[in-house]
Amino acid sequence: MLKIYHIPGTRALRVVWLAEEMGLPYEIIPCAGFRDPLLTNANAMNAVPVLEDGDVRIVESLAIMDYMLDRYGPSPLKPKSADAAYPAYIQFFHMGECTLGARFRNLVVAKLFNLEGNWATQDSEQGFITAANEMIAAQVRKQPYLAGDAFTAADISCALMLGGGAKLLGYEERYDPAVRDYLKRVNERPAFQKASRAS
Amino acid sequence: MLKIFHAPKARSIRIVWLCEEMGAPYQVQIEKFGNPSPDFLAANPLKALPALVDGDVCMIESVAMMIYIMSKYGPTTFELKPGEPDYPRYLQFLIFGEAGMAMYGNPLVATKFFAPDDKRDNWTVDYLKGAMVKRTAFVEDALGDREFIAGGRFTAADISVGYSLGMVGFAADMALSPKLQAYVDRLQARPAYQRALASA
Repeated sequence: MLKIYHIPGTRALRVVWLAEEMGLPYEIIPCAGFRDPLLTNANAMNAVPVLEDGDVRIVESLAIMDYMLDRYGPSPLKPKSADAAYPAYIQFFHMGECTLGARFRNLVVAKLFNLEGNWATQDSEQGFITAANEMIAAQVRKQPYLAGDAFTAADISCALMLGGGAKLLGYEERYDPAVRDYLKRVNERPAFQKASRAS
Repeated sequence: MLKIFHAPKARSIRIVWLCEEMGAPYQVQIEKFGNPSPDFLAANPLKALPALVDGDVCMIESVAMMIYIMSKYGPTTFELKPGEPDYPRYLQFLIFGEAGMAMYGNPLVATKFFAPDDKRDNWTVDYLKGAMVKRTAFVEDALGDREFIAGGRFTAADISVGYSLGMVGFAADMALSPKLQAYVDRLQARPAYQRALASA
């Protein structure tokens, strides 16, 4: 049984969402905030998600997803490397965290704890998110999902961040209409709805 | 033939380094900051390095590129397969090197270069430096007495984490512990890394 350390409103939802999409049995370990000793014991960096699966304990939401897809796959949510959709899949899968997630984090942390704002956060990070949003818009204008015609884990990776950013930072109106339609489409998925309720 | 858009000290060195380790055929196009070439702009509208072109494939994200290159030009010992016991740890550090480390350095480096003088010390800078200290300690703890970060051999996870440790000092104004510095020195002494350095 997969054990997912979870805090509502965090990227841990990616892992729960994937478990729901794959139909995997899982148990949520709810943490009472980032200072919960339960979490500190599992991850000295006080970050969620953490996954435990028997003797395996790993951090990093994308690493956890990739592990689940390989360990409990094969799954259509991860195209094979020979598949034409693979390069776009692997790019957007990583982009959800590296280009989008890390920047949204800096903006969210500043919004919560540093109300005056400052140069590093506002200019550098927002500019990047705007450019990434255009790149995603170009993709979902020509096809329903980031890697092609089929929903994949790359959509979970990016949509979670875009949706979270919209909620926490009020960014939704900054997004291209194509991105807003795309977000609506993926967030209506039963697995996402169930994952959101589960946590 | 892989075409890698690259600049000295950018994380594109990861891709050149991996190609050198694997003996994969590649060519490098050097980009100057603030003066992007038209074909680089076409390859990556975000204007960030690296960008990769391989026939019809055009990609960004350095860790994604490494996975793509290993699957297309492999098989290679530089990646762990799902059946290997250390696979979860390999995956974790392959991704952690960028998502959990280097991305904390980006706004720090941007602030150093571009922020007005009176904005260089700010709340976010302190927060990010604090995160770097914690995250570097996590790698040190995990490395223990191992020569490499996962699998008992040199892998792409070492390239991912090794690049990030190499930039921590500059980005966060902190010195690495002797153990981590020895790990970075060991990685950078590899002939493939030296050849990659010479490419830019």
